[in-house]
Amino acid sequence: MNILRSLIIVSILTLPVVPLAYAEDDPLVRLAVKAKIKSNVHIEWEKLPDIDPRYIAFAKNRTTQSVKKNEKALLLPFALLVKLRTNDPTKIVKIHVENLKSEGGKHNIPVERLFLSINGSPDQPFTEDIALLQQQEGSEIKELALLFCLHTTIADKSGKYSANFSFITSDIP
Amino acid sequence: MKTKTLAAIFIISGILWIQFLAAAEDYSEWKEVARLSVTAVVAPYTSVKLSVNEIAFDIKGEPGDYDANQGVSITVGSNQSKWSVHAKANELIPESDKASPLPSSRLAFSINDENDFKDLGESRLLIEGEAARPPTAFTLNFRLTTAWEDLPGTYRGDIIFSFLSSP
Repeated sequence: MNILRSLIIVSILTLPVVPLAYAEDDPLVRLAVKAKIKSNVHIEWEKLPDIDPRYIAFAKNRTTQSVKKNEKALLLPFALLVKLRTNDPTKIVKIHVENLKSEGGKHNIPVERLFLSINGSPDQPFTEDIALLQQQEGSEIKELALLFCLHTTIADKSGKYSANFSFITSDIP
Repeated sequence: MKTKTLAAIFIISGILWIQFLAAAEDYSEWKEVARLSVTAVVAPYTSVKLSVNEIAFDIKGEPGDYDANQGVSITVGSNQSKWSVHAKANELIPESDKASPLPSSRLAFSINDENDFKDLGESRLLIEGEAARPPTAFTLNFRLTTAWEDLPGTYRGDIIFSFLSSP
């Protein structure tokens, strides 16, 4: 009984120690942020005529290749200066060229006889689209000088030929 | 006899009544006999409200500065003498394991359509106020800067608003 009384007295004495004021916790508010970044490829090109000093320099650096006996190599009088960049490591950028057509469309030169030199490298035939940007090369800007060489034969009719060039991208899963 | 007794009672009660009224008129003679203590505790009150729970960035073009899909209205009310609201961003975590997080310093804000964006890589003061000031809404605009190194995908994070008071 005495113990109980002591406990009651102690608890009564303790009550005033409890502070009446209270501190509020600093409130925090959260704003969720969501960002969706889409795949992007930057392709920029400049056509350099044969009188441009850069064209002349590129042509000098180009590795010449032997041609077939019945063919003659004709370096096209322009170069393409291409800048490529992507944020997507799965992207591949290729250059696609269609068959060369004469004015009026009567005569064709197959694109397989068109060759590409990239930054002075040996010519590659356009038997298929040629890759300019490979996978995992993307985030740094890649500058390429493209020179085109056409192998003509005596069977090709004289005239002015033209072709469409296009850059294509593909996703590799 | 009865009449005399009644008259005496009437006279005595009248005298007592007059004395009571005289005493009642003399207020200076009132004495405090009990005191009731009243304590009112006004709790610190703070309200920070945002108009939305989430903002989104839809980045379709080349890397650069992109504004969020919408502005955020923030309303702060408090009864504390001086207060301030600060904001800091956490990095945006990619859903894909291959990508790296977007640093929090790439997120920036401006107030009330001003063009001066401040990055949220560190805690930034947004608004200051006083108790006397009624709750006012401010518009926050957010911007995310992306780089070529940021892989395509979805990134998630948050901006934390903290309230500091000076009671």
